[in-house]
Amino acid sequence: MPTPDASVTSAADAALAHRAGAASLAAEAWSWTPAGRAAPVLDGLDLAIEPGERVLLLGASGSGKSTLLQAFAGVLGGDDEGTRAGALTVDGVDPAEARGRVGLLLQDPDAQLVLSRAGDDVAFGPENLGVSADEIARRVPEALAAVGLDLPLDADTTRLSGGQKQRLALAGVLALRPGALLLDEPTAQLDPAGVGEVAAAVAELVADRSMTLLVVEHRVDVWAPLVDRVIVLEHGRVLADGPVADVLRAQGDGLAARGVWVPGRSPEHPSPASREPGEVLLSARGLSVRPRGGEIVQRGVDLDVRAGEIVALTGVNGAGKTTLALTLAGLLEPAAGTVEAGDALRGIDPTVEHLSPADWSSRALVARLGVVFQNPEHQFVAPTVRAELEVGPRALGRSGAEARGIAEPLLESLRLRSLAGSSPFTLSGGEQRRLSVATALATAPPVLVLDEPSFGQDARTWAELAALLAAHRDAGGAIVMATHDRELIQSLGAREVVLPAPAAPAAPRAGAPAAPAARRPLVERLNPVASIAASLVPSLLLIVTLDVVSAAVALALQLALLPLLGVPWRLLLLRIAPVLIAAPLTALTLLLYGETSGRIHAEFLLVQISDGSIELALASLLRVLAIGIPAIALFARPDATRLGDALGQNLRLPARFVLGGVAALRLVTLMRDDARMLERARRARGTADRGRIRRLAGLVLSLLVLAIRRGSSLAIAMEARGFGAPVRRTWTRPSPWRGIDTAAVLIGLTISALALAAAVATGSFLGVIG
Amino acid sequence: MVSTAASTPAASTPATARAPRPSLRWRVVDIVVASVLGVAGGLVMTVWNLTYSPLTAPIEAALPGLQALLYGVWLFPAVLVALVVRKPGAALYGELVAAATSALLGGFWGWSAVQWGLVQGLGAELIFAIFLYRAWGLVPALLAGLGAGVGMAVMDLTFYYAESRPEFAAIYAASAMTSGALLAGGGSWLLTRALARTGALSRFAAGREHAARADS
Repeated sequence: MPTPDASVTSAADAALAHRAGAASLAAEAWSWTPAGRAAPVLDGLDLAIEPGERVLLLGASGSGKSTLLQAFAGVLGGDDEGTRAGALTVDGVDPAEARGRVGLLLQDPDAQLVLSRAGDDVAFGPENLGVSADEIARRVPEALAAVGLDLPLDADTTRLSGGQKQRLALAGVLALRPGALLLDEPTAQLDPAGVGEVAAAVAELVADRSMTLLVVEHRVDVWAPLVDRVIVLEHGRVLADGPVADVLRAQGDGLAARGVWVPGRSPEHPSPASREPGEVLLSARGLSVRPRGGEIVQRGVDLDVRAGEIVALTGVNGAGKTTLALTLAGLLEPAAGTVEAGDALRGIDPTVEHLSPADWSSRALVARLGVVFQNPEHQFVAPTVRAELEVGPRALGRSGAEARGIAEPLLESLRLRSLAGSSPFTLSGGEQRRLSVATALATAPPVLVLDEPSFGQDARTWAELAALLAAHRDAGGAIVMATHDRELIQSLGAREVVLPAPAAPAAPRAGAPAAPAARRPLVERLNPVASIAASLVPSLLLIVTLDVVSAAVALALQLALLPLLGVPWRLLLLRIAPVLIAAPLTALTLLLYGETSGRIHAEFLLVQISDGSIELALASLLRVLAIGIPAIALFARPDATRLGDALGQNLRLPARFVLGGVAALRLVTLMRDDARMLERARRARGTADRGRIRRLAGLVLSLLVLAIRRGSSLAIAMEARGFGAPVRRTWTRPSPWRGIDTAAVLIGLTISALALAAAVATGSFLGVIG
Repeated sequence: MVSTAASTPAASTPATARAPRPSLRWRVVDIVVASVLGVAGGLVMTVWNLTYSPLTAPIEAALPGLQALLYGVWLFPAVLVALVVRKPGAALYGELVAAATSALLGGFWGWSAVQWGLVQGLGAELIFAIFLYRAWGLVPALLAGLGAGVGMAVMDLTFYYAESRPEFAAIYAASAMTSGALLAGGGSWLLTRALARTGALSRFAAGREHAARADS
């Protein structure tokens, strides 16, 4: 083992010394009060978990389960963030001293993966702890195999299914070689197939008791067979603790009443439909659907939705359930075929001409089709719960008093009255689900379209949801819902429409095939720091000159060298198109308002076109192009991971900030999807019939809330994987600086020097200063 | 070392106990949320890049230089990130990440956007530094936005509108600074308050202050 730095080695050794089998977890009179709150979340907690024990942690939302896991993982934060009392230990020491001994897996698969390639992501934890590169290279395939993931190391993590992402995150935790696995609702956001995958992987890992397991889950049936012991928390204290069967016998009723899915205690089911389906409200013929910017996922769908019936769209992930539901709701254009509203649906006051909901205004839509999105936070548009319920009625032109008259009974019947003045974003998951359904019901639309409405809900919310849907059906409404939930389909007597699996398997594609390095275009081989330097040189030169000759020479040389980069022409044109538009506009400004000199050709108001301003305009046109084109061409194929490696290793910028930025960039795709979904939700809520700018402004707050939530969760996951540890991190991906990199920077400098020299030689040099 | 931090039993901690002066050290959550907000800001910039010209063209026609009144949109990540995480360097970092994101997403100006980000971020950063990283209210926010506007005016008048006439430059600079103060400064201040109300900032002093006000 190399010994580059004494302190680093000793830290790594100390961490390794602990690594003997499963870890013990203990709390003694432990309390935690988050800053700014009066009541402790964990309150004098006493518990001891022996090495190798397997424990299920139950409790209502807000009972302190997640906080306890974060405390054991050592990521609760410092004194800024709260007050602690008592002792909490891992292997008898403070969790902060036992970094890497405890692995934490969170709920949202998208908020815990850090890097864009699977192998890199698994290596992230050990890299942070300064484990040697050789050792990491051994651990990564081992960890992937341990969770049953057979992926190329460069597989794109954004293309994986939920179950695969969650197993990949688990592999990233295992690569730390932890002695305890802490799982915080690891399957709450997965479909049944994903739940099975993750539970099976965990079962395999803890079978030989080489790791202690502490898991928080509402779904007792999935985890009960795997654990020895159940601990029930209430208000931050231990309510019950013992073998699974004993605790469930003694506490089962109480737990079920608090929403825990206790085996053998099904939530209440609504009564069956009271009448036969009536007239057709919505019909699809030969319908093909595709997500925006994606491929067609379903073809030739024929479907009638009648008043008083519930249609369940089912099928494997990727079959297009959500896409079909959104198309039926008029939020996506059909790719082919038609969606038509029946007379009964179209004709309600005021009537609309168009047959297809996709052609309706937002206002026409909200009166007819209520949409409930899978993530309630996509749905919310108002500052308070009460205002949220009034949005729909107001969009339909109801007066304030009328809207209030609609909101009040809904607040009452959905137990939201005490929250009426709160922001919808502060609500718990169950409350958000009730509110999102209520917002759709507020305009009494004949058709309700729901996307995975029961996903991740506790048993109590589930029963309330089922009752609401049954009531809508019995009042003569129709429901279309995309769902995986067999129990919900059964209890509502829904007509099931099974969507066939998509023709092409949605298997993750590995990144670009690993061509030998020499074959890749230059633009992808250059060190990103070299690209930045080479693209910045021209703009630095162009600060000092303003003349036509230097800009023209620089641009001509750049254009001559451009083909060497190997960027495909079409991509290049696409990327630089905006600059081709911006440059003439800048030139125009200078033509009209540039410094006047020589003969004046035209003059009106502030405009003065003179010899001087014509020359300035031409020079600025060339300048903008000479600054913009290399900057864009050198980054025509950006790769955030390589950029991060180069900034961290070659430029030696602080690793924490570089990696924070890289991790956040991975979320861009999610944010873009969020933005699209938010826009759809606004159309469905009746508030989209206004200018683009007002719509955009309205999206920003929701977009930021979603981003901050993911960021906060990502921060916990990253910190639990050693991010920010006071250890010199290992970089497993080399970021070499080669001859071509030096050459690229020199060429950039040479172009600038030649351009300057040409200007001076021709006597046309015009400096900015003087 | 076993944690022995607490001196008072949690149950008797008064709700109004004043927290110690917040640390200026960046926590992991500060870094990640600042990065995420920067990236979100970059996404907004990218959309704005594609939207702004039809909006500003009529203003420009009315009085050249005045179009910069809307350019504060490019400056809001600097002020917003600083108001949320309240750490030294946050304004600079937020604006740089946003600019880099818009460059990576294929923004208008490619990598040169980062140079603008650097100068604009420094403009805002300087103001928060003058307040010794202790004041995060409306006034510092407005001034920081103005500072970012100065940065933008300097960059634009040097690179794009070099040798423009003094009248144009003066109108342009005044508009950029006004827009920075109002759109980026005031806008970020409002946005931070709105975010605090959603509970999303519970791990930040900016969010906890709001919760404390709401309780009392």
